[in-house]
Amino acid sequence: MSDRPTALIADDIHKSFGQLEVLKGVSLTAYEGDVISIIGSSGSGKSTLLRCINFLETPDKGRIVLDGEEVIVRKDRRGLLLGADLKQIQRLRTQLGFVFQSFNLWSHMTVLQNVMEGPVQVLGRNKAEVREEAMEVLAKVGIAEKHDAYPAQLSGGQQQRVAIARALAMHPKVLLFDEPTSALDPELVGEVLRVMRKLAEDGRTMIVVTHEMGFAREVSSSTIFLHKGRVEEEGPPSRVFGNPTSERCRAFLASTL
Amino acid sequence: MFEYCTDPSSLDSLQWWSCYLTTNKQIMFYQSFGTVLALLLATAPVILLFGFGGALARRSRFLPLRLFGLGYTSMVRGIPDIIFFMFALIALDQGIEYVRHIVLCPDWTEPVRQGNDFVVCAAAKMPPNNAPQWVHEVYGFFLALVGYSVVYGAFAANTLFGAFQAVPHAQLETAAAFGMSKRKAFWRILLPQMWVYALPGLSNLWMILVKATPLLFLLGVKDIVYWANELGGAKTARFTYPHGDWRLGYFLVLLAFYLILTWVSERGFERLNRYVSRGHASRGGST
Repeated sequence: MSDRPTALIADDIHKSFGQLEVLKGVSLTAYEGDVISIIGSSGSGKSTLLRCINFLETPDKGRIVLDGEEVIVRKDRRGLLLGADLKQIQRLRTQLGFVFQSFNLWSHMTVLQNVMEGPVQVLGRNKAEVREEAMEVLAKVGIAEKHDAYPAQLSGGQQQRVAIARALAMHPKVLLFDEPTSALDPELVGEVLRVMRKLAEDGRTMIVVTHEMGFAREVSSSTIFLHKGRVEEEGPPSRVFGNPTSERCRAFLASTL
Repeated sequence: MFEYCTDPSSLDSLQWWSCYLTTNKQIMFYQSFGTVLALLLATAPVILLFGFGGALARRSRFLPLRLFGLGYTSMVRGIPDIIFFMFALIALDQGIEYVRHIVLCPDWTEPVRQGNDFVVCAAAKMPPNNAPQWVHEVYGFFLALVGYSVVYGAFAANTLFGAFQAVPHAQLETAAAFGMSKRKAFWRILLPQMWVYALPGLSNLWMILVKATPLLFLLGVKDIVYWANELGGAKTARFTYPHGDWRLGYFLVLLAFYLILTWVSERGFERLNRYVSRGHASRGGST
């Protein structure tokens, strides 16, 4: 265990879509500064877990605690959870920077407007101040000179770096990455991973769903292997990659090499 | 108009024309172009308003409102325009008079419906019988405005509803992930993005509306078609300015008017389209 404070706890998360039980009780704890990578084959529930953490999907069962504050829920007739306090969920979401697989930059706004939108419109901060800060964040991800461009004018790698800047501008407690490089051409993956590596070095708390085994192995502080909605293997990457105890995990890692 | 116009029969052709084209009736003809433009400019925002009302009703989470939106768009779109104008507007007109009749003439004993006639007391007439001509014109104009708005609003509602649906869900989900409320996401993301999808349909609607303005005639508003027909008809020697059947010429003027109007509209929509599709990853938004 760690002497650092916990940033995020997901406890016993269950989620079904109709008959299909995607998550069968998954728990994870992120201490401040942790980089947790979640790996697993498609359909293992990685993305669903991430979406449950910020309540884009409401988990059927389980608990989410962000920075000591538990998401308030109530149960419906079947005993499944419902978000009870939309205002709280909205507030907590501002502290969970989410980076999507398909970037999802707002297409009618320029790069700079995309980055400023959250801080100005949601957090209600001063526009001039946010602009200055947004330019700094854009410089950090190496794309400040494109601040007047529209997303459609950028390459996938550039769009994803803007999306990361947009998440950073909210000053989130935890950054959630949902397969951030899966939609990119191979030659563009590197520039995004470099930015993420830098964020990890800065001590950001990150939860990264990824297929980039090299990144998971070198950058993360712990790795979780999900299989059919359960945590099959968990631990420091050196152990999970170097000496997995689970047969399935071994097979998965072999198939990704 | 001009002093030399007192005896047109003695004028040379240039002066004759200058007098003919400036008679009172001609001036009213010119003004009726203004009426058409005013109707277009006044109805367009109201149509959009009805359209948004219908579209948002159909998107509502409240079932009765959703049914109302669906009923409005499908019923009005299913009824031929002319029937709607003849029926709904006459019903509206009589409805207003009937309510005024009940309120203003409580002692009236005769039935309001007498065979084919609709009889209300004199005080209930809309507009009042003693009202000046312009009040009658404005009232007809008002009826037309309501009629066009209800009919074309249903089409606009359908177009806008489709446009709202066409905005990628991921764009709104991202807004939610950033802690935006539904209301904020509507104003900041959904509304600005839906115009790209709505504009082609709305521009069609505008063109159809432009071309439907001669229906004004049905409502007793003296529009450009009425005046072209009236002034263009052959005038015998009894008239101050006798001439043959000039309707062809008059209608050519209308033709030119409508062509210019639609051409200007096309240009306008092109510019609008370029604006709303800025940043949009399609041909329209490419730079």
